[in-house]
Amino acid sequence: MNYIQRGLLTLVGVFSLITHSMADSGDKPQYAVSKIDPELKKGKYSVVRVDEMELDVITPTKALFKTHYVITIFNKKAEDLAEHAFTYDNETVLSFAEARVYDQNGDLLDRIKAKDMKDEGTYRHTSLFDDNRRKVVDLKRTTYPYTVEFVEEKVLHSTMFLPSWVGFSDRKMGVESSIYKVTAPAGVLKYKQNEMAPEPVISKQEGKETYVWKLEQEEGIRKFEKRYPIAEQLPSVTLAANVFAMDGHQGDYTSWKTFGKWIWGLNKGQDVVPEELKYTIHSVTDTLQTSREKAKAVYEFVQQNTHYVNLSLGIGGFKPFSVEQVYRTGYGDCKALTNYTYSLLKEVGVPSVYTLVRAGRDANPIDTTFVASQFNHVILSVPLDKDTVFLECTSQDVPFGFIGGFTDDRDVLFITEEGGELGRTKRYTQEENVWSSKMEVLLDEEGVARSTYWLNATGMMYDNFYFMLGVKEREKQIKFINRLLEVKSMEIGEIEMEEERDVIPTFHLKTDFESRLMVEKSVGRFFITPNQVNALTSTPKKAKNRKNPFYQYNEDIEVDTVVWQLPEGYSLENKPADIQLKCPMGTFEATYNVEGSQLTYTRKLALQKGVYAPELYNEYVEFLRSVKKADREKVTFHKQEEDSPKKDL
Amino acid sequence: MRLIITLLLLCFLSTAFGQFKTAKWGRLFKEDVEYTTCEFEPEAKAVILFHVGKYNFIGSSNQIHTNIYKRIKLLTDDAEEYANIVIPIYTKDDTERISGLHAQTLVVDPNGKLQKYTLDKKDIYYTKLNENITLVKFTFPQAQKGAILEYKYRVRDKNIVMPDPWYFQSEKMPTEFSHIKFTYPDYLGYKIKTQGHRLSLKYMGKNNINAWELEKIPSMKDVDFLFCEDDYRLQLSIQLNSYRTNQGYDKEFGNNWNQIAKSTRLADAFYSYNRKGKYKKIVEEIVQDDDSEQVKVSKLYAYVTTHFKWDEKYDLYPSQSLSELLVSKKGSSAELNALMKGLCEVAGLQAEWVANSTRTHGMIFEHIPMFDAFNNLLASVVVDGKQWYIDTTHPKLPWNLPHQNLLTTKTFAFERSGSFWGEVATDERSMVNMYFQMDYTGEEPTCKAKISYQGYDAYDKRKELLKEKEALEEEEDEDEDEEEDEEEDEEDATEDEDDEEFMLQGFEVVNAELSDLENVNEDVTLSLEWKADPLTEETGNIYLEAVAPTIFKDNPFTQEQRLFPIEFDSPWHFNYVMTVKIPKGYRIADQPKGTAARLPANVGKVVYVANENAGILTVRMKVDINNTYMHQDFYPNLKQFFDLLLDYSNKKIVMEKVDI
Repeated sequence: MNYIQRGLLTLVGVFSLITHSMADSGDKPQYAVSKIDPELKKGKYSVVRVDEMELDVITPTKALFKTHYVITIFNKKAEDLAEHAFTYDNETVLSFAEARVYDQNGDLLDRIKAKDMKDEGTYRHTSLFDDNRRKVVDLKRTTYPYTVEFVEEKVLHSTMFLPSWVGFSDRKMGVESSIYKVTAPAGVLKYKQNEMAPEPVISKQEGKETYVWKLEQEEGIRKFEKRYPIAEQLPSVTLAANVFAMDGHQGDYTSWKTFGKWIWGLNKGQDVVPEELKYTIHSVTDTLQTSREKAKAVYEFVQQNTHYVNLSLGIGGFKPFSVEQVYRTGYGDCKALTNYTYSLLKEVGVPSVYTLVRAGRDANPIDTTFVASQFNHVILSVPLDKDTVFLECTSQDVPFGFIGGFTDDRDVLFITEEGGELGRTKRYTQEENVWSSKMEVLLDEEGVARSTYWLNATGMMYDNFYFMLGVKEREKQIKFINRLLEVKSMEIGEIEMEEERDVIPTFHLKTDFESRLMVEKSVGRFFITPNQVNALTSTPKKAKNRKNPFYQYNEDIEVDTVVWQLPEGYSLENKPADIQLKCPMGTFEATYNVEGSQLTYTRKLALQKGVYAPELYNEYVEFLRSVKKADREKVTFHKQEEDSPKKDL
Repeated sequence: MRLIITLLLLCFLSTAFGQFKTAKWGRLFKEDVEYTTCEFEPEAKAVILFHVGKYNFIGSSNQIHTNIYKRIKLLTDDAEEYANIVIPIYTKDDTERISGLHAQTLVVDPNGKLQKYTLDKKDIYYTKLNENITLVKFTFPQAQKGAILEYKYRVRDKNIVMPDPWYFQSEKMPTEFSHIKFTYPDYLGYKIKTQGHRLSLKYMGKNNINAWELEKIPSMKDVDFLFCEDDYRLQLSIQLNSYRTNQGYDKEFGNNWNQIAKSTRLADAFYSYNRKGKYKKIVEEIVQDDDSEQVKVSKLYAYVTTHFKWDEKYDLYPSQSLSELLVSKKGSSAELNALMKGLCEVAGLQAEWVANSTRTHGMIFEHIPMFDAFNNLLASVVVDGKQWYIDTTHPKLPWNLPHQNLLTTKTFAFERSGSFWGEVATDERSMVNMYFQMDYTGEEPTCKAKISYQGYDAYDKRKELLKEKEALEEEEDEDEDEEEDEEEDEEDATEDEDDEEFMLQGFEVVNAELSDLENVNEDVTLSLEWKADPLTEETGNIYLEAVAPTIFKDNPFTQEQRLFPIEFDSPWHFNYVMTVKIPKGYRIADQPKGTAARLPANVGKVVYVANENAGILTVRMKVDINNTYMHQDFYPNLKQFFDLLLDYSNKKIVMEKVDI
């Protein structure tokens, strides 16, 4: 099964009509490659022969899910489809799993039963504990084509997440038949689908509703467009049950308000602050005047006294540890640490709001019109007089009020006693996200460069670097500088890194180094690439018939200045013209000023975040290419030898 | 106030007899409390103050009970990761069982009072990693800067032959004191293998001791250019070699390599791979009777590598039978190479199984036979009177070139009687040859290049080019699709080429020929012809790079200090010749000076020479890395050596226009 479906299936499971009968039961091998319509398989990497998923939601605590997936793989580019993970957890019973592989004639080559599959923890290396497990199977062959088949049945005791459907999951994938059939008590189910998904056939019978989405002899798509979510380029359907259960707790997705109430209910009682801790936290905040000061002190107290661990157990995925437990152990996951901070703030009289968010840099936005859990993280919002401060409680080091690219500028759900309410996190403006660097290079006659480099990075730019503040090992710092700059063979001297901790924080770096290879040289000449501090190295390709809009995720300004001081007697031989570029997505300029034997190079790139129309895509690519080309420009200096006549042969 | 704090401290602080050589559960020594920086690794965020293990053989149950006690101190604010503990336990067949796990955090509060935070049993998590191993995980409570974390546990081990090794050196943090004691009865004969320079110095030649200890041991840091960090990690392994029988004599079973092969029933494990009937049909289909031995082995190698997939596991034992392998078409090195050996034998070639240890698994010490020394199986085949080691796990390598990870000095033929040691080596030179001809005499300067890659360089280049080719095909594929909808935009196509950043970025290639990449037995060769694009200024001068194209892009050795040797994949050679026909009216105004430099112990050398004769400039550069191992003392020389190579890549040849 494809990777997207695999991912979606980890959310839940169930079963219904698909039988265990496998392919070789008929007279003639059912999955012979010759049976595929030649037109359908033309130019394809793979063809889905059968993709049947059936979900039967019986009660909030019981649903049956059955899948039968058969795909023919034509070449190596699609071989990952021969791998599959049958997932399960405490709420999901994997009652049947089997995998088979057939040769191109449709003859059975091998069959793997559940007991023979490798069983492992899904997040075994990253989590202190969780109950997500999987049985993995790999049916890759060296001779193509071949066909793999995966069958599974699951009983879901949680209906908080229902399996989604993707009509096909990759480019150059044809589909003979792909069906998702969902049955649920009338009025329970809701769904959302993107434009590419077919409309469902809906039928009603004996208090039940059945939805069927179906694709047949589907050509699929030939390519994915860059800078646009792949999930939006595939036909997909997402489901949710208005009334669901998780670990026996019944929940409600009818509105954000009711869902928020459910979350509030899970948190209830977890906010009791032990007496000793009350005393401690008051001693930290009681002398402070404003809510902002108190909030900052509490946040820093939590940072100093707790640390994050990844831990989720059944409802533990949603219900936080109590304050008492965090206090006792000194650790917790995002829910526990947010609840802990919330409770301490409440104790000192500062109201705050437990906030659900879909975290991740460049994560797809949640659909605010579809009420269901679309979140994977919790932060804390603190409404203050002038603004609302957002706190990332899992970090021991980010400054108070800074959330960075992990949770910025997106829709969130505030959880209050009255229920859930949609809101939005802070958007960092272009002026707040600034990279500003300067390098001074002193070249000697031998071409040895002695340089000093300064970098100031604020806002989202700080977010890219602050992790280095905790790195004390010099070897790691040297590796970092080597990756940061484009300078060859640096002998690095001093490295200083510090920060200004503020709501918009700044990272400062200063370093000096020597290099014999910053310039190319010959007698009396230096060939200089002025930009060895911040060069664009790759650009996307132009598209000829772009259909989808595209994302420019960054919103920032980069300003770089490099001052090259050449030895006395050298003067300019050749330099590129200054350049200025502009497009709706950004602006760029580079200048080369020469005074005697000194070259001052400046570069400014400003990008504007947004979702842009497909017609603008090629202009965007052209802009980036021009930047990339400008970043590689060279300047030549030569030594003036006024009195030396040209030599004869 | 100061007085009160001092008094409070005195209440719980004990006096240490030797710094960190002793620890008592729940008690702190003055040295523990005052410890803020590890003097031999000042940047360390945490340190192991005390790490003690006691291995006791329990005669009544024939088990080894291991008691472990470890004490860690967190030295910085961001050291919480060191409070996460994972203990792997081999739980298959109840081989190991953990008990008595206790953990607590000791913190001296601002009032000078010792606070103890005990780990709750319910905060210990047991995760089944796979069918063999269970991970015991916990996180220390109240883990903050200055906290001392201590834990102890016992492991009951039914495996009395090879209990877990003792690592004096931690991968993560420095260690102040590490001690291991092993107690066992007279009727058992255990062999101890100590590894690492410091242990050898301290304990070499000392017999009849059962306790070992080291102090002030730096951590194993991230190390590049080493195949197996464990080869250099301070550690001690224990192995049962013999036991005394009821008749009173010592029965040996692991004292030499033959005993090890016999005891582990290595040959028996391949029982199913001895069924010649299974191979017969395959061999008949592939091999002709009149094929030469070399053709036979080449055909069989091609059969195995194209019909079977390596599961990316090196193994000494098969985990599936021959019949199962023939169905699953996927197997470990042991299975695929056992199949290769079987096929060769049936094809009339002399073949046998040999065991070795991959370089990533670690070195074998011939004088210390250990049960876990080997991790891999190879086929040894005699072809035209010469013995070859054949490995079928990497299809893009020819049959006579085992992967670099297998180039080891020790192989063991376990089916023969009597030890036999061989070396996995290759006669193939790994080499890059570049011949450039630059002709500036005509109206349009022409440039030609012939580049060939041999041995492992051919392998690496083949992989790289096939990958590029695949990516290119993918893009062309997409473009073709688009062309169906729209006519190609010429301007776009040109710009896209510019983006490929192939070997000669920025040059307009007129002609290019590439050898057949699918033929693994051939060198990779590339012939190129392109239009010269020299940087010609108004002055009319011509500049060209002295060593083009830039193959030395950056110095890979950026560490300031090196604690471990440097290991290379294989010996390596680079041979570069460029001839430049100088146009009339020009002269060579500048070019790099000739040089010759050598690395110590003849590990490597570089020579650069340039001669001008009859209007032709000839530049030669030759680089040889002759050895795969270099001692860390020579690290500065190696850095300089690569800087020198880079320096030449950065220099220009200038042809200056002169008055005639």
